[in-house]
Amino acid sequence: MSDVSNDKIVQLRSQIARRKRFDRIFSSIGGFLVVLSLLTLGVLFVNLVIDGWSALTSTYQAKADQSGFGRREIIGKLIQEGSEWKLQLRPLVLTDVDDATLQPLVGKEVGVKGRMARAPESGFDPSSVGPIEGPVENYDLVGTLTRQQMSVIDSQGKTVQTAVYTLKARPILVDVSGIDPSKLNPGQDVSVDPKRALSGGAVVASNIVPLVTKNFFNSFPSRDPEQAGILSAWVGTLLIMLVTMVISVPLGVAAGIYLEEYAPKNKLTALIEVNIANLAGVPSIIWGLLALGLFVYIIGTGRSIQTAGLTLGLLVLPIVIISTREAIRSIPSTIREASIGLGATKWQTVRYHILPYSLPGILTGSIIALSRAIGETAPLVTIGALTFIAFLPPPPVEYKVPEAEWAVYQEALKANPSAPIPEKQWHFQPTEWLKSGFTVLPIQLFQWVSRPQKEFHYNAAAAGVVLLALTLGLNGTAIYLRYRLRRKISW
Amino acid sequence: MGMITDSSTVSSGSAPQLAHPPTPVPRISDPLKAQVESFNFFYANGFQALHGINMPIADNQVTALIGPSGCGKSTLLRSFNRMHDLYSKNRYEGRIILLPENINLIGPELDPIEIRMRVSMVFQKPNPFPKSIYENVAFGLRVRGETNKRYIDERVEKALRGAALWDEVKDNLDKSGFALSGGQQQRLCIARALATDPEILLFDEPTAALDPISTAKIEDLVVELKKTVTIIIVTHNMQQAARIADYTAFMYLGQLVEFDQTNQIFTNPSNPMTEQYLTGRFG
Amino acid sequence: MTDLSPASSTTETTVGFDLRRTGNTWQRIKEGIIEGILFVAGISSVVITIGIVVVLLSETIPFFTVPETKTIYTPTVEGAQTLTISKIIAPVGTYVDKGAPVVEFSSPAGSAVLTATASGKILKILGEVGTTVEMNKHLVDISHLVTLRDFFVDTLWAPVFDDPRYGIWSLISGTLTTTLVALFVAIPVGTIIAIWLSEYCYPNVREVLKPSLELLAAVPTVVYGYFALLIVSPVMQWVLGMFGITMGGFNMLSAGLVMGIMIIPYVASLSEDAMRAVPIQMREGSYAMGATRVQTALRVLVPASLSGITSAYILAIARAVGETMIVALAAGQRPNFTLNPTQEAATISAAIVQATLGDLPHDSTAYRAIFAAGLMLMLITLFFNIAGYLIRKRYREAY
Repeated sequence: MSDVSNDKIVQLRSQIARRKRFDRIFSSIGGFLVVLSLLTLGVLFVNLVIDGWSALTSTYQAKADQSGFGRREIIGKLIQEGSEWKLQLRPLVLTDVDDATLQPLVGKEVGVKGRMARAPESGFDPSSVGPIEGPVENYDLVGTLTRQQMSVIDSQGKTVQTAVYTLKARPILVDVSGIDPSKLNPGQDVSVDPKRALSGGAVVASNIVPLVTKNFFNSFPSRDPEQAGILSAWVGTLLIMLVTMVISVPLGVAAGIYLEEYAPKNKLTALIEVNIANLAGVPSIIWGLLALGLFVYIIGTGRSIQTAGLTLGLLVLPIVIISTREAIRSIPSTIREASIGLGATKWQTVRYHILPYSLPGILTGSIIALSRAIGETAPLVTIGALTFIAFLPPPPVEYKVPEAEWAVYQEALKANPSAPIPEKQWHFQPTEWLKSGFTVLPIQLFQWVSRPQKEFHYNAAAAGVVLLALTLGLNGTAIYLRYRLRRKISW
Repeated sequence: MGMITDSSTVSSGSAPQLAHPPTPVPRISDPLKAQVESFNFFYANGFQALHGINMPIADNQVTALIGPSGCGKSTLLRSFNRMHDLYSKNRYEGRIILLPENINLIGPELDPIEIRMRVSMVFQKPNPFPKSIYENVAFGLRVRGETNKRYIDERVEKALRGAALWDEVKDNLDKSGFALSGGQQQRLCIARALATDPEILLFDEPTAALDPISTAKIEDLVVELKKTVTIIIVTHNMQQAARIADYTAFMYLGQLVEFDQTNQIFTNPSNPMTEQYLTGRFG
Repeated sequence: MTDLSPASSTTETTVGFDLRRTGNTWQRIKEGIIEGILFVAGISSVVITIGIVVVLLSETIPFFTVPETKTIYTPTVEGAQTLTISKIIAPVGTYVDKGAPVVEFSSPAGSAVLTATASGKILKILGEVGTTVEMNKHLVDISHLVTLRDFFVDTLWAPVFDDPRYGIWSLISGTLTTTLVALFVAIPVGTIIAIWLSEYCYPNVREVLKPSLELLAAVPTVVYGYFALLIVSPVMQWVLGMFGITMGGFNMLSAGLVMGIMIIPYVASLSEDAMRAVPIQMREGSYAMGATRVQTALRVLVPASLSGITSAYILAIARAVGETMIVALAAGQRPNFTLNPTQEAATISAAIVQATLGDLPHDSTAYRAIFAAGLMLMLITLFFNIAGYLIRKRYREAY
């Protein structure tokens, strides 16, 4: 019986080899797919970083008072010579020049009068340049002209040789009368509107606006992709997350405790359980309709931070409830029995044993909930968060001129340019920010992706990097916490 | 009781100490199907579960492994078809020779899949697959790539008859294996193991989860099956070993204490520990 | 909780006795208040669900019951300056079908007929027989009611057109197509990954890989939308271009593919959980028969965990059906009754986004229409979610 013929063994081995080959192929496919999936995530992130890098890292100069640059604005640096303040302008570039008229002036002192600078650093109208005749005070700017031969690609894509002139202006005197000179900083970059400020080779200090360096994170959205940033978006995200967490964590934890520790086993409890599972699966756009139909139009909380925070708070509530319940369920019943056996009431047991022991699990769930809420877009689109938000919500405490007095001052200013600026006052408005309009990171991203210009897509990628880093970071933290937790607990 | 080594010293010490050294394995006159030689087994955590086992397995006979819980009898049984390979870092030492080809069952050069196709196993808890009765029995043939329906039909019927289940299920071959009673499920598992014509059939406490009537049926079946296949059975039940086994091995603390013909072991054990175990003074 | 009940009931009596002796009724009141607060929190989810349903219904019901007034303008006749009403075919109060003649005109240049642009009751006719009216002036008001027929039979969704249309099928077709493309990716890939993780992967490697894969589901969907529109779509255009198929920048294919990547973890993770819940004996039984890993997985584990795997698929479907930002960005927002994935089309969710991007007047039929569409979406996902929940619950009890 046990005489197994050699033939049979050989046959057996060949079919085993065949089966194992299939096994190995399947294994490679599976491993490949796992790697591919993870690679997708990597490619997505790397791609966002590459596309968004310039937007993330580039800086630009903007006026500190947030007014835009005028067409003839010029930029320079404040310098102090003894008690005198001067303005050293950046070299001004002249383009589209008539080479024949300007060439004789190269290397000589020239004056610029009237229509001069175009936009900052982009050059100015060459027709305003001429040799100095008469007193220097007649000219707005005085300086020396240099010429350079440059290859430029024209609109047809051809390379042409062209002459580019640069005007190096002499420092202009700054009229500091009526200004506290201690407010001026030597070396400060400033912007001047020459139309208003320059007269007779001097500039009035009150018309100088300091320049600040701005980047992606401290700029508001803008029509100019180079200057568009996510300041209002990240502030909005931060504030809304605050509201979301304040709503979802206490409510979710309380609901979890009720369901695990208090709820009787009856039909209502079963209904609540099915309901929570379903609520977790409600599409996010439906939450948006809830926000629009209930909060905006019926309750009347407006298209505001409070509406957004409330909506997202309810959206992530099931996540908090479910993770709280799981955390509580992992506590062995012996702990409850021990506590109750010592005469503790139910709430004392929850307060001193159940809650502290389930805290890490609750924390993990809350982080996951937070990361989900940060990335949500659809529920906020419906309540009209897609408007252009270039302001920040009012802070709870503000030191400012009251709005009514400011309006009066603006009126007075028209008649009397030296009208006194009204006094600033302390304002307490602890809940005003809740009623403010908002934008958030994912909405800003959505808005930028929807624009046809390629430049805005780079901004979108940059916002994507920030968003992805936030959500992956939070999820990573949660995974790590859960891993630590599983290793630490040994009951 | 003082004769038995305190288990606490065993767990803290390196090699377990037996109060009575193992009785030498007697030479048996029956032709052999397998031979266990200086066999050691280590679990992944480094625990040595078996120490220097030497044991013959007689061809077409029933060999029973008995001993208290944790003595290593199941570990030894599962070594015969390399079930330990499913969990990484388990380690075998020594040899288990399959005769007559004289191949080492635990040799790394041998594919565990090939061994499992020649050495089948029936488990403690009936574990039918979530399939029909027919497909459960045909499973072993199907994984071999067998597609000939006539041949499979034939083998399924033969295996079910061999497992004394044919008459009870022949009209319901399409029903789920779970629909059967516990005893029937266990016989279904036996039929499943028989369908591929194994050379050795391993039983790991096959009646532990069954009622007395089903147990009796399985025991009858085992005696019947030894006509065609070599059987090794792990049992907790000494009476069962006495009823069905030709040879019995008594194991304790990972060592083989005594191996002999069943009636010899039960009537006249040569090691005092065996006698203490058989008379129920520990276990 | 249930296994605790005998213990807690006995201790409660002890506590009660203690309290009575010390006279500390405040403690009991406090316990009661706390339990009350926790109960309110516990049923909050039910209140929220009711809130969602009520909000959706409160706009959907008027959508079908409150008529909207359609204005119809006098027709243009070449060469004529004014028209004279010669006959009123459908007087005020009568019901007309769309396209039915309402008023007849005569003019020196010829006669003309004003036809109804929508079905409904004639509310007002600003003139009578013999009145002379200018061309293209508001003449007739019709009280039009959106019917279930308009909603379920029409195949165009265009709530803000002059002649509004509310055919939900053009949105369902978009939802269906993107979901199918997503499932086409996620089900095979997710299932194979689940098998690989459960049968081939070392347990400690799995501990790292599984949460890493779950990160795919944590990526904000708007980032996926960027990916689909600006990276996947151009690549797919190029790939299909090699087969001579031209495809626009907005297409359901790219949106569906990316959505498929997003739902891979739902399929893989839940299926893997289900496969590992299969009792070890069954797995060992298969290996003991000489089956390879892939044979064990496909012939034993998958059938044994079928209900768990099915529920994973169903939850993934529900997720794909409700997904908004990927499709709104990459599949376009133009309703299109087609199942061709290379086409641009709006899903239900994308249509809602599209509608709310503009400033819809509250109380308009177009505003109510998005709630009707939302209710439709809610019902579809609810169906899948409940099915998934029930199947999952059943398999949890199986072992």
